[in-house]
Amino acid sequence: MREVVVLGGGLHPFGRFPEKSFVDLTRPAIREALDDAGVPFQAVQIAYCGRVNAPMGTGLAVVNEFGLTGIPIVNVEQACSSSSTAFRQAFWAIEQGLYDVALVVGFEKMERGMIKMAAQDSYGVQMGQSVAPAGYARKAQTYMHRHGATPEMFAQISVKSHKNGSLNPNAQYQKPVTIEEVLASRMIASPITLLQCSPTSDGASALVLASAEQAHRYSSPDRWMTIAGWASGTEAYEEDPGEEGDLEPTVTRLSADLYERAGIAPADIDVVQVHDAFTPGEVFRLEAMGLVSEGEGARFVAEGGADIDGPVPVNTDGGLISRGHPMGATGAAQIVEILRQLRGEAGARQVPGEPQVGVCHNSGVGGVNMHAFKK
Amino acid sequence: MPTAEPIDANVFTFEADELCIKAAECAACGARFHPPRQYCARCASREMRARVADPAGKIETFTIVHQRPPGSLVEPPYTLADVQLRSGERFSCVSLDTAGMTIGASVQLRVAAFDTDSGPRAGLVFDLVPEGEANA
Repeated sequence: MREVVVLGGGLHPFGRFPEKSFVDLTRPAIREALDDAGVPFQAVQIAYCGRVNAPMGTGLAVVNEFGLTGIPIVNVEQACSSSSTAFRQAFWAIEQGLYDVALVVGFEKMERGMIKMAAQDSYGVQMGQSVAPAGYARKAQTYMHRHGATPEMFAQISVKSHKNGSLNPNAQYQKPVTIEEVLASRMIASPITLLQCSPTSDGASALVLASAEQAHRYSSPDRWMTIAGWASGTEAYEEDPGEEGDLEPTVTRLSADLYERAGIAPADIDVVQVHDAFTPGEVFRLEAMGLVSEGEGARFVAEGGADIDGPVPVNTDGGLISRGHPMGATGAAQIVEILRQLRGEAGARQVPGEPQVGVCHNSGVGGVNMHAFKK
Repeated sequence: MPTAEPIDANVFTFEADELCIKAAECAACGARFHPPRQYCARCASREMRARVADPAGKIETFTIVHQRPPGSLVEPPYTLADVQLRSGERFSCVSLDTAGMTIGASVQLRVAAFDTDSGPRAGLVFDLVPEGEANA
């Protein structure tokens, strides 16, 4: 197996851009990623595109904008984890020696309102069971029941996310909010209020990967980030969990795989991106990743433990809640943020102390992807 | 008594006017599912037996939904719960009530009618069973 590095990343700001086409969104993101990597487009040998709500084959249009070089272009649809899957496929292709330079693109344009997660004529949809925040909300109710956590603790995560987003010029929401505003916003699915939901968004993200042996042709190693490990999966059948059941069994299982492959332990991780489509998710996932003890996560985050200058900085770019969540673009955007952090290029939101190890967790209807990175 | 045709007759039917909640039991490992599955999610066996689920159970966890999701016939606010029936099936179900919901509370399933473009159709909902009335 060969060592694979991330050479560069780029973003189109996340937000609402109804007037822009997919190519309008991806062009600046891909251009920034290529320039950041020092890689000319002619050197890209394969491209993987993560997207959800786009016409068939849209990946060809966004990549071919840079030139008709005839490379394979793969369209990946895996709901909210589409572009982390695209990234994993690119990583595997290089690791296995099939290619040396790959481009990963994530892009999305979304309508306002709750997303549709299943066929609209299905029984579950008609009977009000297909509610994106309700899965998180039901786990939050279990968590509060078991551990005595409060709605205020979950609301404080939104305050932290918006504070980080205010430091990110690419974030959809760049305005801090107070806990009073979060709690007073409209209830969506108890205990989750509107300001604890990730928005629907338009946006794009891009990454350039290369084999370490070829990366020297394009930039110096101080700009690289090594892909140290990966883990991917979907939910397995769970026995009746009873009173003590794991709220995130898939993340628990995959974290063990990730840490073993990367040769790291939770204490080694300096900066984290987790999939916080709704605020309670940040808590469950930090606990499942072993970054905080079970039952302590809500209090830990509420008391500043996951702040940029806290012991476990989480979602430093504002996360899905504040940076925004254009579904197909989110996974690669998380990786762009880790690249900025490990290079020390994150500006006002830079994690202090020269972080060396970063981890991403991206999940959704399509499954869970986790990646570990080393400077 | 049936009030309307089921939204999905694979979920429940009426047999001699009695509610029949459809379930499946794995012949290999005994796992039970509602709605019924063709193959076992637990052990991947293809040998499944049709069963009728017990309409009594308990709330594993719940949320009160305040915004109508796309395609839903249920008027918010309503309760969306993970329910476990006494016969072992675990699944999502709504209640048209929102007051008094607690983890572990006893529930009883019934059908309710919902207006659709093609007339009234029936779906499964649950009601809380008042404390002291739950059968052991």
